[in-house]
Amino acid sequence: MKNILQQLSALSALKLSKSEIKDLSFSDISSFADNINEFEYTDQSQTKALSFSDLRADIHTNTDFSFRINAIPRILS
Amino acid sequence: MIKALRNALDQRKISVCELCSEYKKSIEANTSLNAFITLDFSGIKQAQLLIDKNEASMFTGIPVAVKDNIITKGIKTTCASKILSDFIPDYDAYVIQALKKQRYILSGKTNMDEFAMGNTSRLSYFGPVKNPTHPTLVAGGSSGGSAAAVAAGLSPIALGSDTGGSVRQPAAFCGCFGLKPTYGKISRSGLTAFASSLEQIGIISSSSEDALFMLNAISGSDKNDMTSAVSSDCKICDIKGKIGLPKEFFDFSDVEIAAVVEAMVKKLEKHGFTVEYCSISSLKYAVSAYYIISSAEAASNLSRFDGIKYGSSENGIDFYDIVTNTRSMDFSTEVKRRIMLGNYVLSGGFYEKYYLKAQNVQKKLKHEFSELFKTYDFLITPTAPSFPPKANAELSPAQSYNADILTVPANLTGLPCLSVPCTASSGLPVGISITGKPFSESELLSLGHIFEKRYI
Repeated sequence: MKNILQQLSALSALKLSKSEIKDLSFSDISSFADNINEFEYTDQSQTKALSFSDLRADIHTNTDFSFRINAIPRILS
Repeated sequence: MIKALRNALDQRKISVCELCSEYKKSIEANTSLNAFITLDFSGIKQAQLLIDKNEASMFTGIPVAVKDNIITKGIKTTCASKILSDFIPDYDAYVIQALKKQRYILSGKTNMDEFAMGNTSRLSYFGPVKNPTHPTLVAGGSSGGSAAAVAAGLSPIALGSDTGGSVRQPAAFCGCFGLKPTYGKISRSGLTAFASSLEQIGIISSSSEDALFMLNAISGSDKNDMTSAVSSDCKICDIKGKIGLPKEFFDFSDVEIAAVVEAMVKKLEKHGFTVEYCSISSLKYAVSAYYIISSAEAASNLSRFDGIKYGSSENGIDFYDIVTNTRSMDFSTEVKRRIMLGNYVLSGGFYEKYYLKAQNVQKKLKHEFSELFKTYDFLITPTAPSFPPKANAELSPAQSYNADILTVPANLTGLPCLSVPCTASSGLPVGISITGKPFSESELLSLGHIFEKRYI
């Protein structure tokens, strides 16, 4: 974990002292996130692959909420 | 409240100057609440001129408090962070532009958890916000300053932002209405980005009607936010329908809170609503999914704070040193924790384990909600699983994060949600959370109006 934290702080452009690393309680947080690993779900729905420009064009005019809410993370990513 | 102020201004019973002076006095008499970071009250003459010409709109001359992560041209916007403590933006957020067209009065910028990362409003560079209705308890967060301002009568209405419950939870803790609209209903242009796919500007008010007026003033499509949607004005209407109570939300709640909400919902049966229990089985994964996705987005969004482009800058021997010194010295521990967590869940080997899993939880939640909305018109739950903690309570990060379990599903699914205030027999505040179908704000506010007129 110490090695991971050093790499992460460098990746995050942060310099952390030993006491700060302790204050972060990072191992608690990462084990808290581990809760998600027991979750199993496969999305069965196949959505048509759209280009970025299609999404840009459609997002303003398409009022179908499921389209919008599924397109948004793709645009943002 | 807003309608009464509008009438008083239009009928010349009070001038804009007198109204603002009253609110300013109240703010100065309650500085111990620490609800505001910066005060403004400019534009009084221009607003009065419009009223004198009988050309006033709903918010002409009405003071509005705005959370300090919403950009205001020429007025400090700090996000309650040391890194932006002297930052003065050179443009207005879309919502500010919309209100300026009506010649509203910006009363001030409200205190909050730094970069909206928190649920107590104790994590501010400018000190904690106090809860005006329950001074020994936290005000909630992260829009705690906005909620405290409305609850204490320092502002008739306020804007906040809701990434994981940051409007609804403080509204519930301070005894106000808190509306998180559908994702896309209000432009996010000018809202300092924390988790772009989850956050929405929201409204804290003392009635559902006031929230409606504000929603109509600030919603709409904006070319600067490609996720903003074209939508029509909302209105309070006669409604009836089927209400679902997802049992998992009640199972996670304090017994007294669950009983209060269930009792209030049962009263709606007299008004033509049917009430049934239903289930959202993936709720138990929602908090983990939320913190993984929001931290991943935060790690990316907050990379712009590098000591060069915005805000403060610390000394260093080279570029990298300046960037790391600024970020290390001027971000708080909580912000650093989220940036580190975000980079952790996006890094090689952990991306599939965490981030992709979290996206699958999000998909499952969306699917479960959309299936339920084939049967039900509304889903009602408690806003928060427990009563507000003591103002000096020590909470571990995980304890603090788990307190968001009932609010984060609306952000993960993008659905609109209204928190209606009520009180337990012990006198402690309880929020009743009404979630609706996409863009059903009219129906949500109409149901909130029934609670307000009959039972609160």
